[in-house]
Formats: sequence, structure tokens, C-alpha cells
Amino acid sequence: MGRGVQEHTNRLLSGLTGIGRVHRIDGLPHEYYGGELNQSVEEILANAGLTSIDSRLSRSTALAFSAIQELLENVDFGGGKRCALINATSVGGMDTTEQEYLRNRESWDYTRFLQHNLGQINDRLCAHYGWNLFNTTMSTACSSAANAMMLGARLIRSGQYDQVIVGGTDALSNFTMRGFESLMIYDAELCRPFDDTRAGLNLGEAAAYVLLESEQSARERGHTANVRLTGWANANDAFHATASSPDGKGAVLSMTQALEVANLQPEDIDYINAHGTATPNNDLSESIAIKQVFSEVPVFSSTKAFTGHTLAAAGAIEAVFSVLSIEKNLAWANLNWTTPIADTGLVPALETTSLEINHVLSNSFGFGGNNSTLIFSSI
Amino acid sequence: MKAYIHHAASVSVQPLNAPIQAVEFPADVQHPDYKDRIPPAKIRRMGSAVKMGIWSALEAGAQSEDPIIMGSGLGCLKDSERFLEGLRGAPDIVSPTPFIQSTHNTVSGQIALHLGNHLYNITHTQNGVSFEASLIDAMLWLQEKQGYVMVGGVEEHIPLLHEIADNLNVNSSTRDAYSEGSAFLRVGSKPSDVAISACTIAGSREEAVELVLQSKAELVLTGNSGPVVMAAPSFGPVPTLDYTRFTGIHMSNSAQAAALAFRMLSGESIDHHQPRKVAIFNQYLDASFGVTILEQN
Repeated sequence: MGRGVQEHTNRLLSGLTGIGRVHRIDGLPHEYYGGELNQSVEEILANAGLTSIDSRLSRSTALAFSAIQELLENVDFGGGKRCALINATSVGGMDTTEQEYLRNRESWDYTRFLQHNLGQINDRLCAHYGWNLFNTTMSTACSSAANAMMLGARLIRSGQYDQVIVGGTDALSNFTMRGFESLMIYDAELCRPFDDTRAGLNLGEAAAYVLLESEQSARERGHTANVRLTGWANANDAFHATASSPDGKGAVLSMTQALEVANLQPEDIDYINAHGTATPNNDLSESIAIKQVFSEVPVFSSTKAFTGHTLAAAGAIEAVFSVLSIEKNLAWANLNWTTPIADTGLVPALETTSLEINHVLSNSFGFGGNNSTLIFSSI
Repeated sequence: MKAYIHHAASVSVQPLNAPIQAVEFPADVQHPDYKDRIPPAKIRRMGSAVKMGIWSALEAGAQSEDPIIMGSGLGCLKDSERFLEGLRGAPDIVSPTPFIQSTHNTVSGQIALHLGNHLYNITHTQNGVSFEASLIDAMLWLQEKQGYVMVGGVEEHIPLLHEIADNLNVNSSTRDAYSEGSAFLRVGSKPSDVAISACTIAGSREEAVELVLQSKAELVLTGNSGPVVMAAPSFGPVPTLDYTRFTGIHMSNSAQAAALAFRMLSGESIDHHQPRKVAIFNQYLDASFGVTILEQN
């Protein structure tokens, strides 16, 4: 979809998907659709003006650098504030690892395996920016970034920190693409969230970061924010290693608990940015859960037909989209939809729709029964 | 706010049901009889990280209403490698099983599934301080909600780690100490005999040493969780003990060190030390330093 908030906004408004044929992954057995950024690691860094960084790093790390650099150019981070960094990734440096691993073993460059650790991304960020701050990386598959945002919010609410950068990153990899394909949930065509004919996801790659800041700290530096993170919850479905339960129990719990934290009623939610991966299982289970929580289902959509499923970054990308929804009073289009799911009959926002939006609920669900919900509210 | 340890359990290179003792490396993990706690049909399908993690969580008293917060620096390496091998060996058809089991939160998710646990379920992966990150999250949870939390760390070894070490000229005694294992603590807001009074991740050695000195600990358990060993700093008059002699080196060994400290503070003497207050000083290369303070209540 591009680099930066403006390019993403333009792309969402255009209604044109960012998903196309994947070109940059070696060793794939056939063609795949995916949300690929058509740039090398060197180009990603150069486009962010980060030419001083040693480009021997994983693609996930480069994506993280690009997004964080944009964030830092637009916010005052640090400067005597108590700061932290909560990152998220599902496979970290797997893109680098697999490039070596799938080559002839005799010619391996073993130093490249040192990029594998998920926590390495934070180490590289902290070293480059000279940060000595509390940082951790959360890895709960596709809900990772939502959980990073939740921890950031809790750390601020506890009074321990003023500013926390939260978000996530994941690059496309042979590992994840073939992995979801082996589960028979990687659609060979463009993904169709909440459509009756949906046949799986298309993966995407992305990084997104958000600065969370306490009200007092923002006021002290004369900053006026437009949006608050008001609700958060993580609950476990405890049903299956990868599949969601038929009644969406974990999703019901995370949505309900997030509403409680936000002190809101279901009818207060104006727009749901759904997890909506376009797998048969997720979209049915999530639809059932939404219907259980909301007696009248609000306007909802999945933006994954724009971005692909960006795994650990998805919760952060969709947090940015949720903030934009509130700022612009727009519910984003659910692309590629034609037919309601027979069992639920729910119809998502087919086009980007103008409506007054004060509260957005955003879902992120992952393997391991990991269900997370965030609620964003206007100020 | 303090987190009180109610139970702790580990799977490690330490012999089972025996006093804590220094180990000759290389050493194998002393696996318990998993059948005691996990149905055999399930055990067959589990990777070793999952088995070690579930067993130690259950042994430490995990309940269905306890949030599960754990660390793992490298996650489920065996299944990750197995899936990569599959991609190499069979370019068209690959089994999904190792992919499913490769995600970093496989262990925490399986513990929840085993217990029918719908609570907060989180995996931190910050290299050698993943356990400390989990403990900080857990202590925040207790401050918010009271009750109990399961907090731990799990790490799995694969021969490739040896191969990488050899190719990058890591000294052989360090490499031979590479190990694996798991540890879980059940911590609560309700007082018990042993408390965790603080846990911090510092970005510099000096800051971490200062935290240890300020704590007035009577013993410092020092250790490395990274693949290359850094010398322990001086803590002046405070005696130190290298905990990796008891755990080996892996990214979650500080979780095992916390379980060791719990045993010491509960009355078990190790190398003639019987402290009332212990600091764990965990260094991960030059990047991160975990400081955890435990004391008798």
C-alpha cells in the first residue's frame, strides 16, 4: 500500500488493493497473491533515509526501521520522558534464516542466523537510536501487535511510563506462505473476507508503530491527540491449536472484556475493524462472536483484502486504520465481497462509508487460541 | 508491589527429586515422566518445549483461572527446523504439523488448551531477558487484578545451535554448556514465604550492578543467557554464584535461576549458601541485563 500514513490513507480511499503477485520470495512452487512491498531491504532503508544502517539485517527489521523512522519524524519521543518500546513479530528474522537454510549447507553464512531471534529487532532499533529503555517483544502469532498495544496501555495506566512505542512487524517468507498453504487456508485467488465463497487468506508484509502517551505527558509538551486507546483485552479460546471455536468463545470474551475496560456498551461502537482473515473458520467464528456481543451489529469490515494478513503487524496496521477512521469519520471498505456467509447473513461495509465514528473496536486473533480486542475512541 | 511465589517447578539438567547440584557439561535435560501429568496420546504429538512447559506449569500448580505469561527467546526451534527441512525436501507438499507447532506461543497456547484456560495468555520473546519481561508483565497484572499468575520460561535446544557456535568460533566450554529446559512459578498477591520484590531489565551493566547493590541482597546469582559468555562484574563484598553451573546456558535460564532461588529461600542450601535475600543478575551479551530480587517474607 506504500510507506507512511498518507500513502495508506490515499490507498484506502482509492479502494485499490495492495495485494498482487508475489515476486521476491525464492523457492515458491507456484504463483501466490500477497501484500508484498516491492522493494529490497536496501531500498526500504534508503526510502526511509536510513542509509547509515548496515543493510545486513532481516526484512522484518528493515520494515520496522522504516515505520519507526516515520513515527519519530512526527512525534517528540524521549526528551526526559519515561519511555518504553513494546514490539511484536511472529517470525522475526525468518526471511533471512530461510534464505540460508534452503541453500546448499556447505555454503551457509552462519552469521545470517544471528538475525533469527525475534528480540534482535529491538536490539537493532535500540542500538541505532541510542535508546536505553524498557523493551520487549510479544509473539502470540497474529494477535501479537494488539497485545503489544495492550501492554503499552497498561504500562502507561500504571503510571510507570509516559510514552510507549507499540507496534509490530513481519515480512513475507517462504516459511509462513507455505505454512498457511499447508493448512489449506491460503487462497490461490484474491482473499474475500466475510464472503460465502472465501477460501483462505493472502499474506502480506508490513510494519506499523503507534506512540501511546499518557494524557498528562501529552499535555505537558503541548500536544493534542485526536484518539485515545480506551479498551483492551486478551482472552484465550482454549479450543484448538490453530482453529477458532464454533461459538467464538475467546472472541466473545476479548470483545466483552475490552468493552468493560473502556466502560462502553456494545451499542456505543460505531465501527468494527474485524480480524477477518478470509479463512472459512475465522470469519464464521468471528461473525458468530460479533452477533453474540452485538444485538445490533455495527458497520464492520476487514481491511485485510487491502493489505493481506500481515500477521504480527496486523493489529498495529489496523490500529492506524482505526485511528484514521475516527479522524476522518470513515468506515473502510471490505473489498472482494459478493455473498453473505449463509449461516450468519452479515454484510460488511462494501464501500468506504462516511458516518460519525467515535468508537472503533478492532479484533486480532491468532494461533494458540489467542484473541485480542482493542477499542479506540475520539477525544 | 511484591509477587509472592507459591510454587515453582522446572525441567532442567538438574536431577529430579534431588538436592541442587553443579552439573558437568555437556549435560542432557532430566526429563520427568510426562505420563504422570499428560495423557500419553497427547504426549506423542507434543514437541519437547511443549512437554517441558506443560509439565512444569502443572507441577507448579497452574489453574484454569491463572493468566499464563511466559518467555521464550527462540521459541519452538525443533518444529521450526522440521518445517524448513520439509520445505527443502518436498518442494510441493509439506506437512502442516511442524508449522502449527513452530509459533512462539505454541507452549502458552497448549497450556491454556490443556487447562481449558480462557485468561490472558502471552509469550514474550526478548532474547535472554524474555523471562524478566514476562515477570514484569505478571507483576503488573497482579497490581491490577490481584489473584495468581503463572509466569515462566521455556527454551528448546537443537544441534544447529552447536553448529552455528562452532562456525562463529564460540569457545567450546561455552558451547558445551548450551542446554534447554523450562521453569514456571505460580506467583500471587497473597503472601507466601518467598517474595519477588523487584524485576528490572536494564540496558547497561552499570545500571544493573547498581540495582543489585541497592537491593542489599546477601547472594548474587550471576549468569549468561546469551550464546557468548561475558565475565560477571564485581559486586564488592556480596558473594556470587554462577547459576549456569546448575542450569546450563539458554535464553530462558533465568526462569530456572528464579526457581533455584525459590528453593534456596525456602531453606535448601546450595554450595553452603543460605541467603535470606537473593539477586539474580542475568546478562544477555552486552545488550540486556535482567535483575530480579527475591527474598524471604
